[in-house]
Amino acid sequence: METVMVAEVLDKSGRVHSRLRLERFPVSIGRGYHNDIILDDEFVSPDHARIELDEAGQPVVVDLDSDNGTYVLPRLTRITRQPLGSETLLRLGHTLIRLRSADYRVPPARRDSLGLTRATRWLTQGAGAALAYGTALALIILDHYQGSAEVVSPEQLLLAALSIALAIPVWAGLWALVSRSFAHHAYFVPHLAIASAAVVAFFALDTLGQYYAFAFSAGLSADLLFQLVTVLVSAAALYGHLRFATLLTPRVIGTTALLTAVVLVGMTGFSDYVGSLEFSDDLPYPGELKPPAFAFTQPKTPARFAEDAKALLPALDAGELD
Amino acid sequence: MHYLTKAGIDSILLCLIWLVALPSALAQTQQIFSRYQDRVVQVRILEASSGAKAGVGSGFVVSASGLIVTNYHVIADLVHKPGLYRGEVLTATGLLAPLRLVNFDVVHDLALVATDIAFPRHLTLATGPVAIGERLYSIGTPLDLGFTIVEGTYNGLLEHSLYEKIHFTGSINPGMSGGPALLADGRVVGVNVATAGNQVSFLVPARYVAELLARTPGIAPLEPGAAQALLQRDLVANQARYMERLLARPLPTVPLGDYRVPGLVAPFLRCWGDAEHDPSNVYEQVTQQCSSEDDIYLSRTQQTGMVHFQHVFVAGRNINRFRFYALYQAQFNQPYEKIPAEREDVSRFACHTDFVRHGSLDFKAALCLRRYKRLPGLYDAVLRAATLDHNTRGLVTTLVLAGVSADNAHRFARHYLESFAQERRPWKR
Repeated sequence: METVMVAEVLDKSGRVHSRLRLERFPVSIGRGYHNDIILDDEFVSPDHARIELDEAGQPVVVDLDSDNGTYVLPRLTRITRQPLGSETLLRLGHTLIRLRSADYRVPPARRDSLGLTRATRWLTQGAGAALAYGTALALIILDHYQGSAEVVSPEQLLLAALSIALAIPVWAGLWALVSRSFAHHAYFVPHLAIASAAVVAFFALDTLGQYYAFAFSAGLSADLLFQLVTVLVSAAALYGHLRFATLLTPRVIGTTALLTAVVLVGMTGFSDYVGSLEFSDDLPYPGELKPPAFAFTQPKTPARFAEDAKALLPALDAGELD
Repeated sequence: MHYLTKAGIDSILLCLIWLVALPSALAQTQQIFSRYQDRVVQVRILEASSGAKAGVGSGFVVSASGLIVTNYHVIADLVHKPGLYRGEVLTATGLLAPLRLVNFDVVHDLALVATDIAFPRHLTLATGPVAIGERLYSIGTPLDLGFTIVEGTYNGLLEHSLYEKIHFTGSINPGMSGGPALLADGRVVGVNVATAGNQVSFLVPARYVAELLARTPGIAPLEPGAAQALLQRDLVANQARYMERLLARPLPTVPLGDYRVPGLVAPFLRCWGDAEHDPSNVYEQVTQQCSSEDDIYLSRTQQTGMVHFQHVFVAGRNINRFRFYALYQAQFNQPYEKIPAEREDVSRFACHTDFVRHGSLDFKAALCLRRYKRLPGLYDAVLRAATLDHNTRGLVTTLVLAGVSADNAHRFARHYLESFAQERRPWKR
């Protein structure tokens, strides 16, 4: 049987830099230009090593008394002669060479799940992205209109939306750059869709949170809920961006996105907490006011309200707010 | 008979005044100054380690035992930071001696101190009535510029004041605090305490000096630690006094927009109003506020004893309810009238928030309290409530009570909320 091997010269990140099919032996390796495999590495000797067939016809690597030696990974053992299996990783000088036999079994193809669900595919195509982007801008304009105490002109409203209108494509553009370098495709439209959807989600959840805080006079629980929702929305957005920007597995991306979101929200939460320890004469009541139709809680009498307020005293007198 | 007697006394008083007032006013001022300045002193507060002056005020000798009257706010550092400050007294003749704090009345801003100086004479108090327009002579050391006499007139007691004060038309300047304001015969009518500028000044009536003297047994200095207990006792009693008046009857109300709101609920308050009607805004706003305009000085950082409330009626103009409620919410979160205090004085606020219904009125209400760290049993309270019975109109009210008991804060919060009502005639632009 004829022995065929493949030699792969790897770069520092482990990617294949060059690949050579070896059919005729011996094969010489070194820095000199007379070699079969020429290594452009100043730590490699001109005649460094040779791959030859032993008596049984099995391939072996032989060190040619090189200056810096030949090593076998993973344990970096220096060798003078080493039989080659189906896969061997060698280190010569600073260069890694992977030697595989031609019958090396590669794993089956990875399932390409990018944009597999119908909803994701729809969102990340032109129409969906345009809708998400348009909705985000419409919400910004609506928020500005509802929040202004003065008569506002359409021009002022457009101006208010301008910064976000620009910020979303710029953000998507940055992700597109990342995509281009790691996934070899820009995916600008999906990134635009994801960023816009995140803006819409934040708006929707913030509004819901405000109504919740109003309806239940909730301070702390509304804050915690908001933090949790922020983590989930940012993690989802980050997951989407990373799915298009990298070739990592969904599990790795999911974990990375969630951890990043937790760390980011945790950091702002921690800085808020440190701020709350500072002395302040602010009144920490939930300040949300919504139209009467959204007040779901049964109102108390003034007497009952004053009575309930006495529950503040033990913590206050115990110095918990000092 | 009654009228005759009164007229008789009045005419005798008038004759006396004329007898004294006839000689040239200038000569008389000189005379009063030279006759009484040996009974007036400068009170100095010194930083203990360096001996540098941290503050100066004035004072006067009020008893044969050598007790000196000054303002509480002049010597407050000795109460709050006894380790960091000490006090001394400088007489007009140049004698200097350390002072000892004997007693004080924080509510009326008075203090009694003692020294080892033997004063041959002291001033006497005029606790009887004084006629408006009568000349008064205020003595003190303004801005540390040496002993000075200022002429002015007695203008009666302040009408709207939680803590009774004499309105004195004359220039009292910083450093004169604690000095006496004398009648021409040398009797003390009041103690210099504050100024509003432009010759509008205030005196503590002499009767509070008399009351403080009456409850001061001797010249022994206050025990260390007794000062805080005294402060606490006086402040608790003081808030009980005026809160009882506020709680005694239903609060009188005035119309504001669609509502009836607490108005001038006590004579010691003063109320102001204002309206905002800017065509470029999508709302109109009417504001009313009432305030005691008076406070108690506790320390460099803390004041207390105020009562303040404010109502803001907001009506939207052709806007949807969500837009109205966005600006109504902003109104609900406006800054309130802050009560001066620092971290060493008070805790942070804790709030209780809920929906409240009284009669046909619905509110969102928050009651916030913070405790006085050094004065147990006293709190600052802020009640804020917004009516919730209309989609495009509403009223935000804020009540601020400084230095009250928790019980009074809770009782008055209830009393205050219960005084609101719907106005029978609905509001029209």
